[in-house]
Parts: sequence; C-alpha cells; structure tokens
Amino acid sequence: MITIQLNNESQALAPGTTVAALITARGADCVVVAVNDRLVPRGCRDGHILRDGDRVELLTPMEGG
Amino acid sequence: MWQLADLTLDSRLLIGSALYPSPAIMQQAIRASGAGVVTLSLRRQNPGADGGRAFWERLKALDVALLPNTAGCHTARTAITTAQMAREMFDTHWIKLEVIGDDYNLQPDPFELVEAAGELVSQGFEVFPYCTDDLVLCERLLAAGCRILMPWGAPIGSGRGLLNPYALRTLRARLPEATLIVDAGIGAPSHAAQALEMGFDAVLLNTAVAQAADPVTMARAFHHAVAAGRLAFEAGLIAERDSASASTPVVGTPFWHQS
Repeated sequence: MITIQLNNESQALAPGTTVAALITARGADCVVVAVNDRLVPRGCRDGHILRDGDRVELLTPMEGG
Repeated sequence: MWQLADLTLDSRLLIGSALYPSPAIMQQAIRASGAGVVTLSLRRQNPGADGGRAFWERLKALDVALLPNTAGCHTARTAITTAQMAREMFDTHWIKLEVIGDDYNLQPDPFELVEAAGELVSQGFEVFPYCTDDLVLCERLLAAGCRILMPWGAPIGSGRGLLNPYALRTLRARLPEATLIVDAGIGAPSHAAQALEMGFDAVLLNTAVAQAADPVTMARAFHHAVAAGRLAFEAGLIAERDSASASTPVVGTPFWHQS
C-alpha cells in the first residue's frame, strides 16, 4: 500500500491507483485535482498514477465573494 | 451597457455568492441585484457535505458570467495553481486574484499579487486583481498586463464604505484607461453610489447584501444605487464650495430694501 495526503488527510491506496480511480472511489463527479500543487487536467487523470507521499487537492465549487 | 473585458453588461454591479441564509435566497438576491457577474470559489471536496452541490445547481441556473476567486491564497504559487484549477472547473479565463498578506484585515500582499498577475496574464488569464488603493501598486499591476483593477474600499466584510476617497479619486484620475472596480468594504447602497459618482466603472460586493436582514430587497436597493451613481457621474456633479449660494433667484425678492 501507499499513503497519500488527500485534502490534508492521510489515505492508504493500492499501488498503481490513478487520479481517475481515486475520484471514482470518492464518488466525486464535479471536481478539479492538483497533485503536489500542480493541476492534473481532466484529460490526464487516467494516466496519472499516484505515488507514495503525494499531496492531492480535490476541489469543488463553493460560494465565494 | 458597458464593456467588462470581453463581455458587454447592463449592470455595473458585480456580486458575490457567499454568506446568504440559503442557496434559494442567494439565487433570488442575485436575480434582484441585476448583476451579470457573480464571484465564487473552490474548496476541498467533502463527500459528507451536500451544501456545495445545492449552491452550485442554483448558480448554474442563473444567466450570469462566473468570476472565480483565489480566496485563501497567501502566495503567488498557490494563487496560480488555484486559478488554473478554476479555469478548468468553470471554463473561464477570468480570475479574481486574491493573495492575502495579512489575516487581520485581509489586506492583499502587493508583492505576491504582482508576481501572480504577471504569470497568469502570460498564461492567457483575464486577471481581476483585488488590491489596495495604492497608486504605484496599481501601476505595477497594469504594467504586468492587467486591464482591470479592483481596489478595496475598506477591508473585506467591514461595511465601512470608501475609507480613502482621496486615494480612489487619484486612481481614477491617473488611470483613465483602466477598468476600475471598487471591491470590498461596501456596506450600504450609498457607498456604492459614491463609487460610481466618482467615476469608478463598477462595484463588487457580497456581505452587504447577503447579511442584510432582507437580502433580496437589499440587492434591489444596490441595483438602483449603482444605476443612480453612474447616471450622476455621466450627468456631471457640481463642484463643492465653502459658502452658500442661493438657488432661488434674488431678482424681484419681495420686501427687500437696499440698506
């Protein structure tokens, strides 16, 4: 297993888990993703394999001023 | 009608989507405001919370342009990444650039702001920087490629109005080509009218409407105040003077005698 930081919380994942698989497992359908402070564009989610220690930000629309 | 970047708008009021009592009232208030541009944000996804989804569905149902912000960012680096994520989420190259330098008054960090603005402009963003009313900072932001500037009237959410009219008037006088929007600190419709009377192109506000006892009615009040302020600017305000000047003609004044 590997451990990532997902929205500042530790999460264990199977090695080889992609960003797309993480989003599906999370049940999130309206999100954008950054890994280690870099945007992972929608078209790259299937091919982006997460590594041990990655910091993942999964963001969704929210009210703002 | 007026031009904001590549968009033609009716209203000179831009409004935020936060702090309303409910998503339904947010939607009604935005409609009542007549605003054509609405700000919003990105936050960490929480599988257990549904509030964000209700908000987003309500907002999507409105025919408005979205202006995502980088609220909460304290460095150019995080603001740039947030802007890139907002562009992908909302399919817009507009970004309200917020880089906070002090958490007490939420004052923008001018150094990080200019750095982020330059980089985002080079990446094709239309940058709306939330800045102070410092003339030199505003000139640096224009030099970095910004066409729109959003100086504060007062600290965010303070409702104190235009704390430094001199600085704001100076910006308008010295930067005639820039689109200037007073952002933050507006508490009353009269504050918004004052900004428009001074020649500012628009105002952006949130708390004054969302936290009013009746947000929908307050939104309508701001709609009228902004329109009135702009009309007054176009009509040309009279110059202030120190002494009185009778408005009723003195010729033919009854019971008047040379003393």
